[in-house]
Amino acid sequence: MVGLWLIPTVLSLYFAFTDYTGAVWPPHWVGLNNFVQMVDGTDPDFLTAVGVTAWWMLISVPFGLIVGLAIALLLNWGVRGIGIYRTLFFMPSLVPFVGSTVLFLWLFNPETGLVNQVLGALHLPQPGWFTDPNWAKPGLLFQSLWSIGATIIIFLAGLQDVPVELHEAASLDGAGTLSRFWHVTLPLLTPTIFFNLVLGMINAVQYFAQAFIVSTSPNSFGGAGEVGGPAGSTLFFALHIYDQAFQQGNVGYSSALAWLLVVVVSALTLVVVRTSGRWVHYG
Amino acid sequence: MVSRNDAATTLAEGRVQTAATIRRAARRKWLLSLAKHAVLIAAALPFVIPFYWLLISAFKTRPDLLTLPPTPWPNPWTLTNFRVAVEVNGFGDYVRNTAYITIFNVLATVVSSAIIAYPFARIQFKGRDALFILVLVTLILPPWSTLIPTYFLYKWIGWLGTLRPLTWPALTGNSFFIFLLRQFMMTVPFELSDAARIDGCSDYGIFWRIIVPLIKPALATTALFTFLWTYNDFFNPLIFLNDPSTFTLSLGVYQFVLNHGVTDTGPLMAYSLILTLPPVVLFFLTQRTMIRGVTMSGLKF
Repeated sequence: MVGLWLIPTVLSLYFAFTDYTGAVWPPHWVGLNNFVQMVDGTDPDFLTAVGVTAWWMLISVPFGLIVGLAIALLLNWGVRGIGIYRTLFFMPSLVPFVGSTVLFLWLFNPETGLVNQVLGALHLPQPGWFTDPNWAKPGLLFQSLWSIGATIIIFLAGLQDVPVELHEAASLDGAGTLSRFWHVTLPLLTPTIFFNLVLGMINAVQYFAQAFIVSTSPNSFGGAGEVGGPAGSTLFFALHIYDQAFQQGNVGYSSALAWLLVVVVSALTLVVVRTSGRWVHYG
Repeated sequence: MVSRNDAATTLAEGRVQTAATIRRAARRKWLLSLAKHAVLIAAALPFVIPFYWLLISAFKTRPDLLTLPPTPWPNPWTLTNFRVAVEVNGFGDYVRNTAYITIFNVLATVVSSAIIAYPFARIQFKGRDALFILVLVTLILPPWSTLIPTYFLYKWIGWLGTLRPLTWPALTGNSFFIFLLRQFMMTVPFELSDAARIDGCSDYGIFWRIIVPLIKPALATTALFTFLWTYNDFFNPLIFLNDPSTFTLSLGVYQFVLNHGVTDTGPLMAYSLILTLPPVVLFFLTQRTMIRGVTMSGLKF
């Protein structure tokens, strides 16, 4: 099994230093040229892809944590019928994401979609969503928040592990709801937040399928009709790798991009894990 | 001095007052719970409405779908969309391929991950820890590190155009589940396997008769999540399947989007609904295993 993994890894490293196009074998060794091309302007899309992925990481990860935690807190109120509510929040996560992405294409269709119809009825501006470079990423953000069920459930489990006695003790000491949240719930929840943060970041850096589907869907269906479109606004780093490897035939270059991604993911994970000691409390 | 009558009146008033206080408290509690339900329902709406829209769009006629402003209820109801979706070119192939790939992956992953995890958990051999660290490395490194050359390796050995790239690799196990199952196997008391060994049981017998029955919940989690991951997967089919007769349902939905426009929204929603049905049914059948799987191991899908 390890051998099956080792061969492609070594081969991938080798590709990254060649000009392999997928046709002529053996490819030429080009040294660090592929990495130079990322920054010397040969590939103008490189910086776009980095920017899009950075935006996504800085926006979607915090949003996911905040919305996930907020809903878990509501679910933790202990009202009757909590199982029903939990199912309602979790159901969207069961929709295979090809299905949910297609559904959001339809909901966010600029002319006939439900969202713009409602916005229009309220006399609010109606953005072009996946056809507008400024609104494509926010559209994807809504789609990703819709399938946040697993995060909610992980947070809910974390909340249910917070001992009731601690809350009671804090109440006796005169702590209000907000103060108890800040000083009791949140510190005890830091391991769960940390866990969701690491998972969220790893997924955000490699985000691919949803953006691929909405950007390549035809204009007539509210998509952009080009990989990473419109105007490169959804050219996530993984989409750029895919495009370079499987559509442009720059296999060597895209292998270099893939390795950069691997290094960045590893480095980010390492940084978060290293700094976690300062804010994660293990009871 | 208070007369007996007065005392009785005061007592009665006090009782009335207490009852009123209790009633007020109960009312406040009722109002608070009402407010909580209101907030929960308001928060749930953005999650429910798209799902509802998927459902009703699948049952709307074409003119009804394009009516502006949109109608909140199909008028009239129609099953035409489902017929169109099912009759789309290749639908039967997609269902067959998806079923085959999913069942293959579930069986192969459960069996091979368990067999690989067993020695890591229960047998001492030289280089075991180093090997296990390698398994962990394959787990941590993003799939992008091997994706591109894997594609070319499959191309060179003639696997492109077949279903093998999506099935055979499962025979080598999944490093995440190898890890998960190893952790569970390590919790089985060694006294049990030692006793069995003294009674003449082989490693093979210990694995099947002692370990497997005791880690059934972990095996169920492995099977369930392998099903969901394989069934939902879009990325691997997109890259490794290039012959339309090998496509899966997920790819089929995407192909449908590429080949149609907004006027075919009805069939597309019906198609997506068909795609959504198996995971939803599975959820209601295995709710506890699924929720436990998410909370215990942080699995997402």
